Amino acid sequence: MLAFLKKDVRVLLRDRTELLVLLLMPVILTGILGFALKGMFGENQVNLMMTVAVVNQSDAEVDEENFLQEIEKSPMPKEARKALQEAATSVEPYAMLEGVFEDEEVKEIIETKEMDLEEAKEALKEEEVSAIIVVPESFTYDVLNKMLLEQGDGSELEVIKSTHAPLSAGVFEDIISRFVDTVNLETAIAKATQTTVASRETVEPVNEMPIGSKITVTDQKPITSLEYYSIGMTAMFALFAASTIASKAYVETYQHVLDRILLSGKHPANYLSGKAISTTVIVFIQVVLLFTIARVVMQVFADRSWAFFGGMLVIALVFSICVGALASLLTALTVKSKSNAIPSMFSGGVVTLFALLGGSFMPVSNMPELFKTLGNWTPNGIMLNVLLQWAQGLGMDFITPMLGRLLLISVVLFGISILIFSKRRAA
Amino acid sequence: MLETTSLKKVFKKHLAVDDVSLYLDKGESVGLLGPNGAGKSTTISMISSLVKPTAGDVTWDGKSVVKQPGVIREYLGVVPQEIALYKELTAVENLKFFGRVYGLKGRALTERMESVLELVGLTERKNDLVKNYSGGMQRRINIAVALLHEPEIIIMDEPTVGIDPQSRNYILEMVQKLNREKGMTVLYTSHYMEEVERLCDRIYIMDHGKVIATGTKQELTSILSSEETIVLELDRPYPELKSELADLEEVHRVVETEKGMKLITPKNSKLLSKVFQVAERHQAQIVSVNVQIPTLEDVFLHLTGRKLRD
Ligand SMILES: Nc1ncnc2c1ncn2[C@@H]1O[C@H](COP(=O)(O)OP(=O)(O)O)[C@@H](O)[C@H]1O
Ligand SMILES: [Mg+2]
Repeated sequence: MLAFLKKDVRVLLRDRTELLVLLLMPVILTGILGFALKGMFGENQVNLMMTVAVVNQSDAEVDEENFLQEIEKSPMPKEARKALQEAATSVEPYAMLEGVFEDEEVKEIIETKEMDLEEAKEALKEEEVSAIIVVPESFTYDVLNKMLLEQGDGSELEVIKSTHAPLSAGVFEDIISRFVDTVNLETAIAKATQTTVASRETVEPVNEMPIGSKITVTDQKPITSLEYYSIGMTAMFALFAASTIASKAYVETYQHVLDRILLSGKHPANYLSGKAISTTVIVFIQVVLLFTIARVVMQVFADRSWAFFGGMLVIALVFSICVGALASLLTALTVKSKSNAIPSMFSGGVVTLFALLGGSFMPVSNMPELFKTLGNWTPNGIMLNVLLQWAQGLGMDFITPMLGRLLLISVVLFGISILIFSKRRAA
Repeated sequence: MLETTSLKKVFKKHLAVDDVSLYLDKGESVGLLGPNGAGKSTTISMISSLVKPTAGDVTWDGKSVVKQPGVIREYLGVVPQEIALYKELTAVENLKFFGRVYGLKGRALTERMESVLELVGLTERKNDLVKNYSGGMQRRINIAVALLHEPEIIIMDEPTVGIDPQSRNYILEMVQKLNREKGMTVLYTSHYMEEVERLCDRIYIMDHGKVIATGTKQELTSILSSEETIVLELDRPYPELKSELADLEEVHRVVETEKGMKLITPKNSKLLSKVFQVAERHQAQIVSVNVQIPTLEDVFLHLTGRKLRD
């Protein structure tokens, strides 16, 4: 199998024109499309003004009263109780949150409206607000309890982002998470000084934060046009690799090299899986190279972590396997028909069609539903979608079903190619 | 050791091979002679189990190759009519790949590669891309690949087509060496009768999918033992002469050659004066006349009325 792989890679490497098409064209096209269609992705819109719904399900005064009474009942020394009660009245978590929105800078871009949850959701749907922040029941009580007594789980602010104005929502999310960080930091400071207040002997390290923030994403993080096209073009040109491999198989057929391989007694399936594996490896290298070029030359995904790129590698691998299976199908059809018609039809028309449906040229969001559905069954379309979702911070568990779909398609394509190929021999 | 019985192949109603029975004994060198389209390659493809026969069987030591292609594969080397190599790779890279495909590896592979390169005289050029080789060198490396796994029998399908005389001579000598010195069994296919005459102990002559004659060279030419060949050289082509010559009672066969006409006639037929008369009537200038003992070429002409090559 290694021999087949080496041979296929060598043959491809000797073909300068093909190499240029597979590696240089996507880079050039990414550059052209990325710069030409910059406005489309909204990354340089300056209007960030937004309205945010605040859903306050807590009552700060009741919470504080409850907390104070709790301390009163506790068996602590009197001084400690007093100090804690003073601290509790001066720390007002909800007021702190309100303070965030009072900030001059924030006020310039965010206008808040108090609503109940139902109203807020409706407003989000009607695009009257860009995001919702939900302050849960007994927010103040839970925060104080965690902050000062280190009891309970703290509280959780929920941010629901909209499907429109993704950039604004992103900014809002940033602001909230900065607030959460601040509160948590203050808690840490409070803890460090608590030794005197609560007459405790040891300072325990703070691992748990009084406020967690749960971000419910209903829309995408902004993706730049360069990022979009570096994925879209890579996905598209990987398909060309499949047709290139298949047309090399045509050369093997008419030069009777394939006969020679079969003469050795190798099972035809070996030849076919050789093709699938070499294509997988070649496409994987191609994808990694293209992303590396995009990252280094075009500064695409510049601020991402290693974990992010690790995820990208996994996605690229699954995608490469699928293209490998596709190449094996094209190879089987090519060998069966003894002509180069299949690969040239594929590279001359099908790739473009797939690229359109899969969103390599244009985001499919404005296309008819049917196209979107079809696009979601093209390998390049799935790859683009999955990578976009990954880039927007959706986790592995979210994208696994789509990766599963890619693998399913791979198995089906490879199965069909084996069927076709063994029929050839019987003829 | 290798035998075909009533092999038949039909491609979509076109009868390519019809009732071909032939055999090869160990160490023999056997020729398969026939014009283009005679069905030689198809016969070879059926022997090597690349093509399934429509009817008939191929056996190797009594075992059916059609039912179990595996029985012959490791003993069989096939030199295809085409240059079945990766032209974008070097000779060494090709040998390595096909060697691996045949399950050779490590030192054994290196040794076999060196030995076949030596045999075909390409050691010096082994790192050149095959596409940069001359036609003759490509033919030679095409043969080398088939010899990598040390087969007992080698089938060569027109291995000297379209190459220069030196390369051709080199290949013929090589085949002779393999057969005589290494005892390799050879099935040699060609439409050049000189090659087959020179190399082969026994010959099958094929035409239109059928074996039309078989035997040693002597046996075959003795078919024409009572005949002779008259070769006429003319100053220019006279196509109209042919039918008139053919109408002469004693002439068995007439065929146009590059420089004139060739007639097969009974021995001592005293035909020449009639031939001259016909030529005169057409104002054809006869440059020379030669009366020859028949060759294999003439045997084919006699049997089919056509030349081996056109
Ligand atoms: N795969 C095929 N399909 C249809 N016809 C074929 C095929 N292979 C060979 N033939 C036909 O069979 C006949 C014999 O061909 P071939 O065996 O190649 O002859 P040779 O090798 O003696 O020149 C020819 O008429 C050729 O056109
Ligand atoms: Mg042939």
